[in-house]
Amino acid sequence: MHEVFEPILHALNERDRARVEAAFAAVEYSTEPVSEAQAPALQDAILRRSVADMLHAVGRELVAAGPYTWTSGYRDDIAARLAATGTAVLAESDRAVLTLVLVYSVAMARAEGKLDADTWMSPFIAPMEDLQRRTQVSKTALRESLERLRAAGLVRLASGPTYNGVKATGYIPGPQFHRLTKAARTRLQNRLILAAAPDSPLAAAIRARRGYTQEQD
Amino acid sequence: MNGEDTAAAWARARATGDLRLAPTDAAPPGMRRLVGPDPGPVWALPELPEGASPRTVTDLGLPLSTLERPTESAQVLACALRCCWPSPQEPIWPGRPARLDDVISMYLQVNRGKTADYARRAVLPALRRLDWTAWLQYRSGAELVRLGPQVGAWNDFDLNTLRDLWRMMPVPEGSGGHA
Repeated sequence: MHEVFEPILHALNERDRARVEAAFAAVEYSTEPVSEAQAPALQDAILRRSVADMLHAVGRELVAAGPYTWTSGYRDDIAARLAATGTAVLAESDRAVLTLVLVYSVAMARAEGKLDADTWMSPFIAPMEDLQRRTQVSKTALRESLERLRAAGLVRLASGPTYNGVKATGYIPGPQFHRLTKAARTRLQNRLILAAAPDSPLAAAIRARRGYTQEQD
Repeated sequence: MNGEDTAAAWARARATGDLRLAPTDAAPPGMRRLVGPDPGPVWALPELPEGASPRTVTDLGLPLSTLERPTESAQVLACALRCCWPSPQEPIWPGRPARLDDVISMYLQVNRGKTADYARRAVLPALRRLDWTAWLQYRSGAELVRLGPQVGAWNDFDLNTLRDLWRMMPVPEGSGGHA
């Protein structure tokens, strides 16, 4: 008997229990969001509640990734608790490189109206050449950071458009960005504005609203 | 441990892939205590109902996260396992430390015709990836490679397959994996 999940699963019949467990595994471990057709427990509001309860018990929550598609992410309160103790917090150089990828791939595309305001998955690459030119970390540190960020699913190597017969390569946000909760997406959006345009009126408004400086939070 | 602490412990295990306990601590609810070599770290490993495990994701035909350069990573894991697990009749966990040179030499035996330089360039990044995911313990620049706590989570079914794999691997050269 499972100490954490049994109180949630015990009332279900064998078939529903199997469907709920499968849906839990699907949203937790599949690298891509899961459609309700792939995990039928997600179609049924009562069974979906059981999946959400299982996730909640282990510090996670169900995240809507699109119409009829789901994934899971860290509960906001748990993420804050882990971050407060420095658990799994990225190294400074990794954060800098990730920010640069997001500025190129998401912020610039959004500013040009090519990307929805609440989307973090972007097909627009941060060209490798620009990452090398714009970052203040050394080439070796950049390579190592990108290796760690790829391993964590935070960035993904991708091809861009072809110029003069040469296909540009670069980075786009990785599959972990599917897993951001609504609140996490908003936090990230605010921080990206602070990073990309710290002197803009929007950044000033964010700082005033949240009552934090760039060094805080 | 209350429900919130349990949730935080499970989240920490997922975030780090490697939840270490103080030697006297009990495992959080739903987790198994895994004792490393004495004296050594103690880990807590989440235990899932069989139907909720990552194996189910494959059964559903959904994509599962894989390490970068999966073939190379798997080969290096197999080489390290062969060096750290001297006999398939013995429990795989905690194994014994293997010298980095022995793992590289095993990689060269598996990949005949490759140069030592090529092997180092392939093995070292793969060891780092396997360390981040807790399959192995390897710190950059270190001379020893150890099994990681994920290996201690393998069940009897997994181990039967691994014993077959072990028999297919070459015999380690040199010290054969002694620290």
